[in-house]
Amino acid sequence: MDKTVLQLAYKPLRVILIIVSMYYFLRGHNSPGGGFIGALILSAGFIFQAMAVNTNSARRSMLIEPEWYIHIGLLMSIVSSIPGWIYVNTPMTGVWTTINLPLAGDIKLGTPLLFDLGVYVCVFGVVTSMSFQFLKHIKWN
Amino acid sequence: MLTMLSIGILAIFPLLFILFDEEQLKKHRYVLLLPLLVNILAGTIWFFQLQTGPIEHHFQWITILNIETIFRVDWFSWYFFMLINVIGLMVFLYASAYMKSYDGYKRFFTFLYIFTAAMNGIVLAGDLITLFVFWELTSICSFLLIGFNHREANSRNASLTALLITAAGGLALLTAVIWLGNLAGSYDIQKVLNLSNALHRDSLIIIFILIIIGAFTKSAQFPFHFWLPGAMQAPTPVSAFLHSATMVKAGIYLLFRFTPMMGEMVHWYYVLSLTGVITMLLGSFSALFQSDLKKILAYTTISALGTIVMLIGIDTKMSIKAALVFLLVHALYKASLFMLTGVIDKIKGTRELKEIGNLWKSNPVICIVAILSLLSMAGLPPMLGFIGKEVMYDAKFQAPGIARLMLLLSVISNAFMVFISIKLMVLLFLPNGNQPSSHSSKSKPAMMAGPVAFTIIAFVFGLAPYSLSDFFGNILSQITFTPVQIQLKMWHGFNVVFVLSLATILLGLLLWIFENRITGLFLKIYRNLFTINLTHSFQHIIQYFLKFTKIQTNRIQHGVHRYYLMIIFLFSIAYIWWKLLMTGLYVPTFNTENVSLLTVVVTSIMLLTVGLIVTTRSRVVAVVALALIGYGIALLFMTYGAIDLAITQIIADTLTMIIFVIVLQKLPRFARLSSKRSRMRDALIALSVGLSITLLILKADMVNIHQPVSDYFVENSLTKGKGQNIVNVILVDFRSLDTLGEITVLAVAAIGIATMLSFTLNKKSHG
Repeated sequence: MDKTVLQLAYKPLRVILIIVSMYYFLRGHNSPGGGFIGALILSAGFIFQAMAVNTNSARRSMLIEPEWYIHIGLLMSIVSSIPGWIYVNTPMTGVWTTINLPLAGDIKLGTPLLFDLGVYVCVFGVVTSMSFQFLKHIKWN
Repeated sequence: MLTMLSIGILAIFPLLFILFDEEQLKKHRYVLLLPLLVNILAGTIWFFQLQTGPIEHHFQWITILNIETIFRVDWFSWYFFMLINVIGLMVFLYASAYMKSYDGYKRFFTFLYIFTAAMNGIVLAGDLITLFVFWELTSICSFLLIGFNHREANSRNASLTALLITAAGGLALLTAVIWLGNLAGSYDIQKVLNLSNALHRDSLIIIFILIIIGAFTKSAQFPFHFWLPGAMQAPTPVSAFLHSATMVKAGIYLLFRFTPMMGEMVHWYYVLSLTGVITMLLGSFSALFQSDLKKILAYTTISALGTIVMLIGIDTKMSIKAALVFLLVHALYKASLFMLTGVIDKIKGTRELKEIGNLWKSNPVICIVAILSLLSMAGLPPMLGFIGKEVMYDAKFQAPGIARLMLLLSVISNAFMVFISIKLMVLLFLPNGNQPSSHSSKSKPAMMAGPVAFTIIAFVFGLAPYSLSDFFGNILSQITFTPVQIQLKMWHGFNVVFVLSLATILLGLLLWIFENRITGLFLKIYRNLFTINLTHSFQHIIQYFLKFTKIQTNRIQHGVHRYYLMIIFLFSIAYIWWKLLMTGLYVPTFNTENVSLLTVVVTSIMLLTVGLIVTTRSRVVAVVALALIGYGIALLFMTYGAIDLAITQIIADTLTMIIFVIVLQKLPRFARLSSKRSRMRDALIALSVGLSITLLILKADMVNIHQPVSDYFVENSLTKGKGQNIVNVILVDFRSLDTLGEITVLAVAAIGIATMLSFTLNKKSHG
């Protein structure tokens, strides 16, 4: 099958999708967005690559295997429940702290952010892993 | 914190194994003893602290739900704790040498450590939930340990049987625990026991039955006893540990714990003492016909457990005391004998009684230790076993009711024990002309340390039993809630009990002398009594059960996708209609003022698209049209201000379409395979689903719930959740547990798909 358009487009498309996904993820707590949406956008970038080139190339670009993202994401979400356990004696309660960065000013950091990051990473792993499996199974390339 | 430490160190210690490889670990195997030494040290500290009263540790870990873990050390749990860890120390020492020739050294010790930790957890637990969790953990660990030689079918069967039986008992116990906790309003064992008088009698009986099932399965009481002889498939150190101080003693521990609560019930008395008597006789009688050393010992364990349960059932102070003493006696001689069996097995290469013989000349040390242990088992002076048997007879002699009958039966059972002891001594140690001891390999000191130590302990306590009096007095006061003084002595004077002891020994001797004549008769009785082989029938039951489930599953899980969907839809419609009719059908009135033009346009487009999907003859059109509907829904979301939902809907739809495109070219030709009638049926179902859901939503708009939960989210999103996007705050903060569940499900689904796809790939490549 002729995939010239995709092959030309996937690189810039991937960059755009990565940036958009980060943007959606980071603003998620105050405006529409969040881990789930961000992860879906991010996976789209890599699925395009897998379709344009092949799954192995996409897997290489992801630095580690998609399955590892699933594990790491789940682990992050679980770990985020621990601070609440320690500080308020109730797991999964949000714990917040404010740090001051030179350029960005005051930034609120909290366990829900880590939790959302876990969702982001985990969903990213799940969607890419599933799609790559499909692509490989039907011998797309 | 010491309680946590003593359990935790055992559970965490195996992690250090990562640092070593198997050979290094074998070389530095004495490191393995460290955690147990720490525990014995902890026990020593507690010994002094206990003089002033019980030690309690509360760990509040979810304050909002009032969930806490309690560990409590009192004299009684201290007794078990020390039993586990001192015997554990020797077992670990023994195992470190015994397992050297085996593969999976690390695996073995990891299981053994976790098992010991779980056992310690049971006896230190101060609340029912903790007790139950550790209880289950011992079942699982024993499954792993019994099936350690997992390449042999026998081991696998034995471990599965053990797991099924003990886990079934565990379920019964769980029910009892929850019930008891709800009745008492607390899971704290101390509180539950104190409140027991206020509890309702009727429910207490059911709880009693459940607890009994839990304890009996674990402690191998009739009719659940058959898993224990099978459990000897485990490596010998495990058997020594399982039979003497752990696992089977967990059930005993539970019964002791609940004695103050249940002891006054008539059922308690009859059920426990009768089951105990049956198990006791059954065990010692069955032991007569075994030829495998380990199997003989396994059956005598069943017998000893029966004795203890019976004594607990009688529930007088004397009998509880006797049970406590007998527990120690049994633990000491059983651990020692099992370890010696392992030693003999290593030297001779067999455990068959007839093939051993003539050990006296080659290994006199083993013989001396074994003879002393066997004396203890037979209940002869100067060993502690004698004291144990004396107090037991005494307790039964003075107890009311049917105890006299039990006394008679236990004399018989003990006579069997005497007989077995004599038989073992003669067959093992005296020359029997079978063969000279060709393997003259020496036994290792690490493997002899345990038996020697336990025999010395039993010997010293046997000579000076009064040193134990205070200790057992303390425990007894704790169990019965009243101060008790205890006298333990070797020589009670020439009384009925002493006469009974003499009679027991005499009977045992007579059995030995007339063995040839009696064996035939006994064997006949044995065969007639045990026409049903419980192990086999149990396996048959399991097989039938599996067959049944297979038929059952095939019927429900037929694998036809459209029927699954149909059933789901039909049931939901039925349920919705039932609810709608129950709450009064609402006739909607349409209010067209608030409907915007956009909504009308979008909805009309979507309706047209639906028509297109249903009638189209091209799959690509259908897929694109489906996505169009998704985008339409997103637009509708947007008009109502649900931006998050809209974004998610669009992205999800896009991704679905991508995946559709991936598989599109691999799908078979798009054809109409279904008949017209079935298509009509599907249309009917689809239309009624749509209608029902519409009605449900209209109805939902009418229902006024007192205070919608969304108000809370709106109010607290910024203050507590620190976010303006309420949807996101709900997802990651207010309802984060749900989200965690969802991503876990996603992860599992991904793994499932990976497995399924790789499975079909493999099948293709092979076939």
